[in-house]
Amino acid sequence: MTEVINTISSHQAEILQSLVEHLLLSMEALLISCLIAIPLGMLLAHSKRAGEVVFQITSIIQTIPSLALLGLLIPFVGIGTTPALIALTAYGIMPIYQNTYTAIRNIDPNLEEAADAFGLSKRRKMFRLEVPMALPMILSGVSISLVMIIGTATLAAMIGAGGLGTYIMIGIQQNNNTYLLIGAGLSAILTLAMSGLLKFMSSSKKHFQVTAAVLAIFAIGLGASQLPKAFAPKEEEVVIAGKLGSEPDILINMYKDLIEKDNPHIKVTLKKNFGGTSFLFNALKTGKIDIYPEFTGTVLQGLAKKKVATPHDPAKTYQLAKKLMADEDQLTYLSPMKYQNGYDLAVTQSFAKRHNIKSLSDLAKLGTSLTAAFDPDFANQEDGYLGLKKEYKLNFKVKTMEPALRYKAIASGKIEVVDGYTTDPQIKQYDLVALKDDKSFFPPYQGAPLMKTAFAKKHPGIVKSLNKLSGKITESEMQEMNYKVTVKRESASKVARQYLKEHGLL
Amino acid sequence: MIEYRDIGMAYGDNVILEKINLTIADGELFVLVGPSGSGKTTLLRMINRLTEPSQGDLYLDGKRVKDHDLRQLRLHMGYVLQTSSLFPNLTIGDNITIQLEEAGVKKAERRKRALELLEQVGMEAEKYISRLPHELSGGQQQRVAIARAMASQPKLILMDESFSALDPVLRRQQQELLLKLHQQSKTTVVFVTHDMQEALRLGDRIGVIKDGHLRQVGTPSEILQKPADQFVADFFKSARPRLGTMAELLASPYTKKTKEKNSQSVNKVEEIAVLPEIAGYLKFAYQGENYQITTSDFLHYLGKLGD
Repeated sequence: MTEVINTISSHQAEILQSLVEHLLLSMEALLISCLIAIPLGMLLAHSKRAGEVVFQITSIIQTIPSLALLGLLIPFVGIGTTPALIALTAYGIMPIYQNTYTAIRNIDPNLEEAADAFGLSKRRKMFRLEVPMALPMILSGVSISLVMIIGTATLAAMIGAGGLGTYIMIGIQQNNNTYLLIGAGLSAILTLAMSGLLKFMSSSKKHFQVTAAVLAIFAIGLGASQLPKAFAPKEEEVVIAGKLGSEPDILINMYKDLIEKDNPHIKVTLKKNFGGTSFLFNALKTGKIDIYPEFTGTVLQGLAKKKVATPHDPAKTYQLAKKLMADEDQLTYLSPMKYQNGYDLAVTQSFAKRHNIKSLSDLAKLGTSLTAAFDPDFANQEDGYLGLKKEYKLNFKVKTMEPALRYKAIASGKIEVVDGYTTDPQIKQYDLVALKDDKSFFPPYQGAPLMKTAFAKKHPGIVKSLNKLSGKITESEMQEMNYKVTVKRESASKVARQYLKEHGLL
Repeated sequence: MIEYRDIGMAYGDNVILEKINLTIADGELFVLVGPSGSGKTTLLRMINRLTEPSQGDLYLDGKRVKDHDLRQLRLHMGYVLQTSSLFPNLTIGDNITIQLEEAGVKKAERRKRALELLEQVGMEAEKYISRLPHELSGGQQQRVAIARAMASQPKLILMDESFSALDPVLRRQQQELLLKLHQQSKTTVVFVTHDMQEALRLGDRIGVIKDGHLRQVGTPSEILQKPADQFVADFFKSARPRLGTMAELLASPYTKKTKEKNSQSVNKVEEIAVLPEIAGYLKFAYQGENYQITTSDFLHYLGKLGD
């Protein structure tokens, strides 16, 4: 619990922003749903067949799994808030339409007849009689939609629309229950608060008017606060995204600081925790984002269509990756930073000292009595332990376990060796040593900015700024920064800026 | 004046009404009576064009009803349904003046009119004007429905089984209210019912309808005394005054024993009804005893039996 409170207090601004994003996205979707569903329901209530057809259609939309619907929309409207808004609206329509349609149809036919017999116009009949009579039921439909939309909106994070789902997504990714709790908890609280507000609004005419007035003032205020932006001198916006986790977050914050310092007319927007590798790669190619940091090894093994063996030499790997990206996708891959973020094997500091171990070859000399905990993938891959075993003639007793548990296991002394990534913050956190891969078995993973070649040509200033990071940042520096962000819960932008200042880059 | 000229109504082969010719004069309280499914409601709904006849034409003040502007026609016509059909979301005041609202009458004016009308139908106006329909009893709701029908000071009010859902006591009250209001305003009222007692009580004239045919049109006494056919005679048979037995009459507090002799000896209540009145009293002998009863008490007693 204290951890949750600490995380919330140190991430206040970001959490608040996610909350606002979530709320705005949900409210927009709800509003559009209402604007579509209520008039449609009222219009079709008087023609049974059309009404039933639309009713069936909205029900069918409801049966599409939300994640699938979001995925289906990407080819048509891309990623970000647009597809999220469309999907959420599509979901929100059904309960509102159904309740509106049913409420109007359920009005006593005698009342309808009386209204006709008194010579009331269609308009007066609708707004003076039908709408008020149907209102309680329409509002209960809106309330069902609201709960559904706020809940489903957590999935919007998967397609880069932000919101509280971001925390759920990182939480799952990093096996971090604090984030999960924050994301899920806040969205539950938001749901309760908003349905409470709706209940309050629908409880009496006076409450409705008061709340509507307050909301309207808010909306106008929000609109007015956006006005200066609209009239401000035009800045060029560059969008930089990062994969999940602290390291891409730190890197893109560095990119932003470097670019904005040298190019004052450019405004950089960051999309952190934007998604997985192929998602970002596609976003870059379709122009949704302009730049993201990618690893050389990932380019060769995951992104390039041409399958080539990954060289063990980092420089060769980078050159090959750069060439393939330029040839296949007209992308420019700037020169990489110094550190490698590849697989490693790590042991505790004390163990390394006691046995005087610095490299994997040293470890191999110790013989067979060691117990290792590996990630299930790593344990069974040719470019993981299977290949490594042959190369260094290792023979461990291997236990496979979840990534987060491995580090806890080695810290508690139950095992001697773990696999991991060279920049994992846990290396610092648990006083470990990443052993040197002296035979260069692991493929090199160096990070560098990837962008469209057209973009690079158009913005030589940005390229120049980003190249300042070329050859900078060592593994231990990156470990240190990751440690500060994930373990010490410092903000990524602060850690990034501090590094840039200390190294005279800013 | 309402004139039905050769009106017919059929859904496919199903004939609802055939060759209806009927004239209802201004200021009349005209009752259309008949068993359910006889077509009486259909006939009523043709006046405000909720139903259009498939044959013939209906004339209102000499002009075909379909040549009237529909909105104006309906705005200036009262309508009371079987259930009160008050709009549940509107206050009593707003319910009453809904037609005035549609006609664009100012709010203050509408309120004034609603208060007047509530008083006219015998309700405490200030107390009820802001209440919602569900706060009122069934009888009060129906009073409001009548007030609503009078809001636009219409020349014509249509009432469709308006009191049928009420219990006998309330129904009697509403009937009296309607008769009183009709007397005051001389508005034309067309009233549909399946209850011949109600028809007799309310109607200036009555139209008896069965199976889509108008069997007879006449005043209540014409219909009772000279029924046009067997159906009409049977339909109103039970409406002939029920007089009860002598034992019932003697058990009532109205009859008093007297010492007077030589009163006419009677065996049945009917015979008392035709006795000559002597100084406000009806005097008779029954099984050797002499009795007397005031004429007004006797009528009151019979009236109570009729309910």
